Amino acid sequence: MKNKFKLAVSALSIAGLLLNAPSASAAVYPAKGKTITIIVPYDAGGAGDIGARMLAPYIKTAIGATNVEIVNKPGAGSQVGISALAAANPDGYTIGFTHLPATITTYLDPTRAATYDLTKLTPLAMMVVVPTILVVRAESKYTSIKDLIADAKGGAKVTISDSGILSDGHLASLQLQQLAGVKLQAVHSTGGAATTADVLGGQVSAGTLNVGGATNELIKSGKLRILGIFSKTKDKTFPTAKTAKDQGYPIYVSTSRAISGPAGMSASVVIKISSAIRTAMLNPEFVAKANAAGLYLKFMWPNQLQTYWSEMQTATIPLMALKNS
Amino acid sequence: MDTLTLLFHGTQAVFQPLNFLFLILGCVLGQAIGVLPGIGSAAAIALLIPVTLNLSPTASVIMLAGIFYGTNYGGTITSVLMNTPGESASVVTAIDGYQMAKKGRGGPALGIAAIGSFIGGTVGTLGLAFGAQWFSDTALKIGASEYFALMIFAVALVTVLATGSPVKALLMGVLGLLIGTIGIDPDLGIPRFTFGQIKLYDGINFIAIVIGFFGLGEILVNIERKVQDTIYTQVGSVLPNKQDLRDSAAPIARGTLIGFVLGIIPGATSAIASFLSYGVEVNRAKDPSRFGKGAIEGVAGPETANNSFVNANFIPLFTLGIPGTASIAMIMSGMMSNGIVPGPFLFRDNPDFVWTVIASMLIGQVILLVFNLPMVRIWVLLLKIPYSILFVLILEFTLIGAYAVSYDTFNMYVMTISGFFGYLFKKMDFPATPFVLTLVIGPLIEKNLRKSLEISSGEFAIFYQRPMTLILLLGAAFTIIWPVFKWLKMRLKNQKESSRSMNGGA
Amino acid sequence: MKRAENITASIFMVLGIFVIKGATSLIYMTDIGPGPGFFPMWLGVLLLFLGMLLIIQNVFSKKKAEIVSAEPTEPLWPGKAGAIRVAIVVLSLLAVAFFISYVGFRVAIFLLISSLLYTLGKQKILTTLSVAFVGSFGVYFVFTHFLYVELPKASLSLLSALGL
Repeated sequence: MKNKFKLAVSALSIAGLLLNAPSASAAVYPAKGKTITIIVPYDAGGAGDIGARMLAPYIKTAIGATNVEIVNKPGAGSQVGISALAAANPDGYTIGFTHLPATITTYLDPTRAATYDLTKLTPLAMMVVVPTILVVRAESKYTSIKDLIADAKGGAKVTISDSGILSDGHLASLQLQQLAGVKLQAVHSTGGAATTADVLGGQVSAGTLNVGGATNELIKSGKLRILGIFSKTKDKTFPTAKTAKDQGYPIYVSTSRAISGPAGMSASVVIKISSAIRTAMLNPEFVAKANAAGLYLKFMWPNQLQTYWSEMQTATIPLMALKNS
Repeated sequence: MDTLTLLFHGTQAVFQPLNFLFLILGCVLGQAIGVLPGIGSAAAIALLIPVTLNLSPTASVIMLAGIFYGTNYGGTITSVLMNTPGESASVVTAIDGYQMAKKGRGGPALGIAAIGSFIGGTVGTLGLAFGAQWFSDTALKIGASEYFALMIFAVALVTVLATGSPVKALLMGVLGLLIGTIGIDPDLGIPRFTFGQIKLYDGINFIAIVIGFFGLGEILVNIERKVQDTIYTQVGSVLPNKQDLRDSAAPIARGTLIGFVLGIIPGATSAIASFLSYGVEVNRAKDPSRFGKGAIEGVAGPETANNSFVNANFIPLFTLGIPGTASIAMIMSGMMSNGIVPGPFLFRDNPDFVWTVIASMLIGQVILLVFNLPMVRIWVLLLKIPYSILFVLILEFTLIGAYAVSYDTFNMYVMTISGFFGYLFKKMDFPATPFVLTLVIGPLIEKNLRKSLEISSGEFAIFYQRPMTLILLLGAAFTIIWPVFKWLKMRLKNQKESSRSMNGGA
Repeated sequence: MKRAENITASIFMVLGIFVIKGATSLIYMTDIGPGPGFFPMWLGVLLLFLGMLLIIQNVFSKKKAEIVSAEPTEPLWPGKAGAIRVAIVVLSLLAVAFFISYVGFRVAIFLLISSLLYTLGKQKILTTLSVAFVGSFGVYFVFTHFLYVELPKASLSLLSALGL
């Protein structure tokens, strides 16, 4: 009796050993002792960094990794970091943030000589999607996009401030120009803060910003007024604000934070990572923190993200030629 | 409740143990980071944001703000003692401050800097306390064309009275402008002079260049002659004397104003504030040739300006949620991570937070002054280390500073090469000031010129139809024309006199 | 001095030409104003012009009084010893930049400080080694533990095995 018992125990332990032994199967991802690195292609404390650092510990718990580490690789408007990401080993231990549309416009621009494009990356999950909005200051006479377009058609010089060339805001105003058939002068500033200052100070007729954060406070206080939101659905925070589509201009532009890996990752690892990200994003503790920080969480599975990305890429290609207007 | 009462309550709150502890911690850390070249407050604040998530929002921002204005107190020290600016804001201080140190007047330089910083910082904070809303509304009226004109004015002020060969000064200025164009064009995003290297897309880092050009350059000049131990003349008094205080009073007043005005405009940097102050002081001095050789006004004004700038920077942040510089943007991130969103409702919805932080900034200035003045003696002791040892330590400093800029050895190369050129130029008497000035201001001039034209849809009229722009441009033109006019007059007078004397008197 | 200035001026002129050439591949004007090529083009022209002006000034300035600087006048060019000192410093800094990713901060800086202190600083062995030790290991410790600044670690396996 004792011998059989011993036999059973040893058989079970051997089986246990075999099952846990490193093998070619992806069931052992993430391996014990290995760190998953998340590249943030922006400065510490900058765009996306805070959100990434907030999410990292929840990914760690969800995926069961020994360590999940954020590494900042800023430079060239995310080009340095994403180049490093695309060149990394696709074993699932290096992933990173690829913000859109910045990532797309960088590789579509031949002068940037980017070493990557969608085919060299594996979209894993979407974390944040923030709609772009068109705003004016309180003293402005415009109350809708129609007013602005009418003014432009009447010959007035209408200027729209955006946060940089080929930023989401610039893409929106380019599409607006095309659809309305009227010239709108783009004024490129150095970021959302500068655009806000331009609009509030009356330096420009209107500006493109993203909902969220301090901008919401300015809208709530009445200092800024939304002319239109460039998304398919209305915004929860500002239910009375109309979408551009409702005003006759079906333009959908947003700035979003997607997480990607290099091309060539195995399907099972992709599923593991994206599921872990989803679990992390559903964690109530994380959601509370994210809401307090004003993050617009939105999850997408890899195939949804791939579609979203390709569609954005297709819509952006014709706009690239207009970038100097 | 009126402002004074609110401020009083805020002050009481600052003395709560946790708040006070983090105020001191922030000030000390800020000072330390300022002393270290290459590591800026933005990076430090960013690193500490996760730490603050465990604290109350008030204590967090008290600390982060302390780091922010503390760095301006610390950056002066390496600038004055080693000609190695720790922050871009301290670059201007090195020009005259280091010369003062070489003449044994390092103590007074540091002392005046601390006093000026205190005054600037306090006035800036008082502006925030008493007039935040009005100041930010007014500041918004300043647009790209005014900014452009202001930059041109600053360049005119600083370069016109450059002693020595004007051609050399202009060449250095052009060189600075040229290096400033390297990178992705700020307006249309096209890479310029980058030879396909993404590392150059963001341009060549200013701090790396300056640490090399000034700090390493100075070392090379010194050791080339001889590795001797007496680079610094015997240290005289360690604190500023009465004459120094008298000389510095007006520059401090002007510096406070300049720093404050630039601080409330989003998009400026403290380096510009200090350069503008320097330019104003050079122009207002009875004997401009003293500058560059150890004029205390060249330390007092800029140091005050960059501190009042930094504190005034909080005004657009608190009232409208607009961060004017990278470091303030980090503080904004810190606030938002802690659940406080700045904007028009901040004063209304979070009065305790706001007034405690403002009070902490006032008390912080006192803490830093009290900390810095006695420390001057200790810093000056560093100069007693024999130069034959000190120079190697300074070299180490420059390397760390260059590395810390981007955690990349690339900037170590930039620093070293800049140092070599700094040495060559210094030997040949090509002035450094115009080079550094245009390096800082050049990209902003171009960006604002092109943005102004976008705003006006291509009409150049924007430059003469907007009153502020026109006034500033005329001021710049006057600053350039007036000395030329005087020089011509003098030439004519000399010619008349020499022809008169040749004709045997009249 | 004049010869050095003329050489420098000529280099500036050549640089100016290269800059003008580079600027021509950029857009000079857009419909609303200067494009990316505008400033570089004119900067190149200025370099050319100012360089020429400097040379001309030097050729014709025999009668012009020299601007007296506060620094004591001394021969411009260093003797051989001075030039070697400058070269040693510059080359050792470049070497540190190159090797630091292989040997790590502590080793690279230790070697830098000790070699410079001993050769140029003419310090005794004891002083050299103690300052070098504090300056490398000590500084590393302070930066990484108190200031959260990550200084480079060694990448060569032998050295990283030693914890460097």
